[in-house]
Amino acid sequence: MKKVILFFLLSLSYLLLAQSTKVNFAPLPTEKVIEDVKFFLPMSSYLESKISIKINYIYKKDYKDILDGFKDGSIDMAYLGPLPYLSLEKEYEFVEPIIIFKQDDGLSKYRCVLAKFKEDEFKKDSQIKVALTQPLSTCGYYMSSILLKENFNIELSEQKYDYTMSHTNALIGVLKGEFLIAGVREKTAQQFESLGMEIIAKSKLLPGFSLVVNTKTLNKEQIKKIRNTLLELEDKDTKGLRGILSNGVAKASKSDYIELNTDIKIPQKVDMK
Amino acid sequence: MKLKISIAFVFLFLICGIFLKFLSISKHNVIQSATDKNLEFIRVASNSILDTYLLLAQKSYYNTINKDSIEILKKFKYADESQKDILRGKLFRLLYKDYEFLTKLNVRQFHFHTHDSKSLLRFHLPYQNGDSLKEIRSSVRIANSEFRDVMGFEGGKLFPGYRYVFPIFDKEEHLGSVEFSISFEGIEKKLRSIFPSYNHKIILDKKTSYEKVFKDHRGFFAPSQLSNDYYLENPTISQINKKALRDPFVNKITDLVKSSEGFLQKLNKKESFSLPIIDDGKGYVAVFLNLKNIDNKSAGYIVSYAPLAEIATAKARYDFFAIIVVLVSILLFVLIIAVIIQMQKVRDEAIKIQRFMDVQNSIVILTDGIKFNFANKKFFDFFNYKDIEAFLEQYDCICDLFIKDENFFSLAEVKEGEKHWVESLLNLPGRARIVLMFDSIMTPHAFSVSINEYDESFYIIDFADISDAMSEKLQLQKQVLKDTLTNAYNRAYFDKNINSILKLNKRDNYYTAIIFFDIDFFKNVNDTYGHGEGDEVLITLSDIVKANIRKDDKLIRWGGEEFIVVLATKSIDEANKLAEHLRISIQEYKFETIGSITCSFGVSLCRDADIQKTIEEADKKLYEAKRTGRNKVVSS
Repeated sequence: MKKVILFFLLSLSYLLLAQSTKVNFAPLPTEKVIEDVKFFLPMSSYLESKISIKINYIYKKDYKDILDGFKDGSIDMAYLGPLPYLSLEKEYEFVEPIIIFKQDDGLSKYRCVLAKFKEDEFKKDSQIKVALTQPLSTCGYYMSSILLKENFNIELSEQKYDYTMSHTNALIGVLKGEFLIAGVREKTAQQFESLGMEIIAKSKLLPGFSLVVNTKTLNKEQIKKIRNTLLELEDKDTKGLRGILSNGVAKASKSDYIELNTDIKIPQKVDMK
Repeated sequence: MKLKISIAFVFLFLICGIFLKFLSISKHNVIQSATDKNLEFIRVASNSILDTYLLLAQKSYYNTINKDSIEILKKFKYADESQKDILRGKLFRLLYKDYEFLTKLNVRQFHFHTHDSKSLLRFHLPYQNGDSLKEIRSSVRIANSEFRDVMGFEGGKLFPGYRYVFPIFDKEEHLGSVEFSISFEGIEKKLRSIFPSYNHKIILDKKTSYEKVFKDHRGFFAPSQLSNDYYLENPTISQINKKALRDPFVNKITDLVKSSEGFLQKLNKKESFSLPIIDDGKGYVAVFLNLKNIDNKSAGYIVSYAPLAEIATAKARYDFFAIIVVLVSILLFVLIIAVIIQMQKVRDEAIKIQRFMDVQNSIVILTDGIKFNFANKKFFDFFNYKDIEAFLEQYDCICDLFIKDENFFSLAEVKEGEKHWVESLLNLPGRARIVLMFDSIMTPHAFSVSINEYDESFYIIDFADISDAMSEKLQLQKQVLKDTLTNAYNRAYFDKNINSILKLNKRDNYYTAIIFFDIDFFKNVNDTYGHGEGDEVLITLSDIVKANIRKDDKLIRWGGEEFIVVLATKSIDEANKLAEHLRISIQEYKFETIGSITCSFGVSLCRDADIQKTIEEADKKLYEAKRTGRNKVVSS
């Protein structure tokens, strides 16, 4: 009798597993896979416990590979900043942002800024050195060029600039005196105010990092389930949540990105001539 | 026998247990001593390395605390908050190259503190500043309150490490302090160059180190595999721990350390210790060098693992000894059991032989001709001895009891060149192997002697009583020893047996007494009634005396009408009483022809084995009795 019950339960669990949808998810492109998993695991576990999907992690070295994955159908879902999302959307129409993950301050949007050391002289008619983060970082070349143009009528393409690979490195570069200006996220620049750094230009609010789905590989019902399941957390206390869910989530839509202009050509190499 | 085997087993078990325990303690001591040496090496090396870093920190202090930095720090002390931000930035710009150089020398933290122990500038995390360090950083507090250099291990808000904190002064004005903290990577690198075969890591006490860290930075640490009370730098940050996490050797030793007996107790004692580990025939050492922080509290451990073949060799050697001890004990046990069984067999055999011999009518003894080892029951009955020890108190050999007689073998016939009497008897033809011995009541018995070799040295000698067959000869022998007229013993009997009598009495704790007496005026009887009547009187007197003395007392006709009684007595009084009793008995007897007679008595006690002297003394007393009126007893 026991054997019969065991066989029945095994068969049932096999059928349930067989029915769950496999979703290929690309987290942040990084070499620290373990850290990445720790960061995203709370979300995938939550989704798997709520709906019958199985999250399968697909690791990519950079954003370009992730964009290619969307195009060839090997990636169903990804975690992308505004700029990589817009870059993807420009080349591939079957993408949709469904959820924005809130930041430490509880907001789903953030600003990019330009910062300099207070005592450094900013001669607008001289060539300046600008410290940037990464080519596909929203606050990098993309937003720094906009802010320089809008606020000081300076063309970044005509200045010296370098990719320092992080917001902190960009600010430290200025602090050391190697650069005059750093193009960074507002929150990081504020941290460096205690070192005499000042924010000289601010962007408008930008949508935060979002969960982007491939509408060609996932059907509407599946996308709806994922979105609604995550949005159930919107009104909940986020104290007990970990990793990517620790600050909560908000609904995302294509309209959040309308005001962003992606026509700017972003150089992949540095120009320190 | 079962009891003996059980006792032997318990005894050997205890001996074996004690020896194994001793071996176990010795093994533990030898192995522990070998691993403790490694602990000492690591301790000495660590101290040397830290001294080297002290020199580096001192040199760096003089390089970085210069005129420009002093000026910034002085302004900082009195500046408002917005000015402080700029001054902090300026200080960073002034010294960041020094900091980059120091990082190459494994200095992890280059940190300025204000005069009131707040963080002024962390070069390793510049935007984290302004927080008070007074409560959690004793080194900073001491440097800024006691104005002295402080060094030692200490937890911190970012990273624990070896701190070298120096107060900063401009002339006599205290401006704050500066700190150089050394990363464990630096110490490990140097330790590795000294001990290439070791793997090192540092584990931090949760309370004294981990809990002091900024909450945001606690992710930089991960629980140690060794204990949840200890943390180590997150392997994603620490190259050493990253490497260790992937190192199968480190993981293996960590597992073995965790499963080793008493490990957690030792770890929680917060003192340095070393652990010997032997696994699969290979030896390893795990050294835990305790790190004391500035407050002299345990901050964690430097943990070093290394192969240590010598402890495996020592263990193998001691285990071999232990096996030998067990085998020898088993062997000894088997041997003892065999001996016990054999002894039991011999004892059973001896009992059987004893029983067999005891039922024999013959006297049977076991002797090598000199020593006397065994005798049967007949022997003891015949001679009236309790056991062989009692006999050996009086005699050395049964041969001492052989009566010298021309018809019988005695010691007098042992020839020169013959080792002992047995050999002498063997040299005689069978029919000549006859000896004469007195029983306990001095009755002579003739024995035919059969000699059988028991082994190379001993003989079983059988004395078969052939007195009946030789009754005639013995009768003659008896007659030879008795007075033909009175049937009392004669002087020949006395001469032959007095020594045996003396020994016998001495054995039984008695004195030998001599009662010397003769008939008063016996010449008148002979003269008046003739010699025939005189002989009748002597015969009757002898009968009266024999009837009134004890069984073992001997009446001897000394010559003519003189007699002596040889007796065993406890005192002279007892002998006197017997003599007095005899005197009265004789006096009261009425002879048909002559009426009554009287006798005079002299009594003496042999106290020093000189029987001749005793007889002479008794004779003198008899003379004294005669002289003083006759029919009386006089004693010495």
